[in-house]
Amino acid sequence: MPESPQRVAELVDAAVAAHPSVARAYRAVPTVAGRAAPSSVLAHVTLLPRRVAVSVGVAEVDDSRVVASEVARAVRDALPEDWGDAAVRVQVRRIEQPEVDAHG
Amino acid sequence: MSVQLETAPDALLAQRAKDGDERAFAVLVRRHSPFLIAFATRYLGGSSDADDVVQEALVTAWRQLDELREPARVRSWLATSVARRATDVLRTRARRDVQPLPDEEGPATSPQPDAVAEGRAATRALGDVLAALPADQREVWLLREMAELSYDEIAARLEVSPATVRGRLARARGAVLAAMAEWR
Amino acid sequence: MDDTIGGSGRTLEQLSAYFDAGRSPRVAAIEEDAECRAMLASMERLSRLTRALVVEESGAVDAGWVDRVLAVVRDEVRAGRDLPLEAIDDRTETTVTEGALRELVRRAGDEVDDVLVGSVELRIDDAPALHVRVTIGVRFGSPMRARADAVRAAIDAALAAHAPAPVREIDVVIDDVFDAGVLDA
Repeated sequence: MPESPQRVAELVDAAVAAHPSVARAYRAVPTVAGRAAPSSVLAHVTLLPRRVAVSVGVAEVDDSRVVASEVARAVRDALPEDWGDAAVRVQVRRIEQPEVDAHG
Repeated sequence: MSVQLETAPDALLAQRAKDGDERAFAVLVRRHSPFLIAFATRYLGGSSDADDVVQEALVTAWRQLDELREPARVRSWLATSVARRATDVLRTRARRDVQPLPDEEGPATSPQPDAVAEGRAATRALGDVLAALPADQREVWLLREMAELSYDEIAARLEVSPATVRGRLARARGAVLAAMAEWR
Repeated sequence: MDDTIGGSGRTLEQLSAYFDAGRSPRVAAIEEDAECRAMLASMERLSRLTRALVVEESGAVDAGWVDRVLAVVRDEVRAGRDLPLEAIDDRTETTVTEGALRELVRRAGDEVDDVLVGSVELRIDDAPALHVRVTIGVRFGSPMRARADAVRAAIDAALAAHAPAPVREIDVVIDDVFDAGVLDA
């Protein structure tokens, strides 16, 4: 039975969170004018066409290109078999410092 | 040692906020909120909506920072955002009696030097006079004298011509000067 | 009916506009008329009084209220454009946002002593190569050239592991000088 977009998003979220170099995960679709339907998942998944988008924070000490590429690999690996031809986009939303300026 | 963001000038903070720096925006919010709330209170004719109006105006301003042309004048720009929101509130408010200004009887203090007492009384008199102005004259007054907008900016805000702004402002000044005659 | 002020031949409306123009360019007919000068002085007093009124009515703002505003703002990351990082294959791409890079650059510049970053502009040309232009404020008395160079070096180092294209140039412009009153913590 084919997986729902919601289920696919959950799989993707888990893969992203499990990646050791991901400092933080963000909602992939920016809220439109500050209002977005509440969602329990961060990844953005569409069915037609099949597209998966994630948004991450990378630690400043790491390399964005390397981490993003690794996350793309991890997302691909987490997708169900029939999602092999899905488009995958990994966005580096923020380059994070260790939490010193969390509430400046 | 590093320079503190809290003491940075408006222009630099606004420029950073335009680039997405929320900490810089936070400093601007803390710095100008007292003024913006005072401005909103006057603009709304003394209602208690001022806090909400300013809050929403600030969030809107954050989203529209791309439109800020002169970072050094961010305070006036924020006041414009507040005026826009306040105008919406005034328009959609159900028709009811204008709320009188809350009584501002502070606690009795020790006798003050005459000049200071006279100064406080003068601002209080001005406050009363402003509250009694026709709404359209009060509007241009506040936008010019408090928000420090140009005629063109006021005209854009009120959707009238600069010539109309000029005439209305002159009438407002004339009315205020006449009412404040004993303070001249 | 003559509604002009004194012998100036000018109406209140013209005087009011003259006042708002900063009394410039100077109009002799107004400046040499006693009644006009008195009117302009009254307008000036009224402006001062209004500023005093603003100060009086600007009370302390509840910290919780400010925090609520900032909480909404914090949730709305203004990311800016998506800049291509790598096209891994024809179905897989990675990007970095302009906002992420701007923040990185700003942070790097801020770490230099006596410096606060103002604006950060990023441009990618056809090469592709990255052009960076920042404006900074420097504390008065601090060696400007050395600070600008330090900022350039700090930005260069910070971008090494995150830039979407090789850095072609970093332009550092000093457009503000903080006086001695801008103190540290």
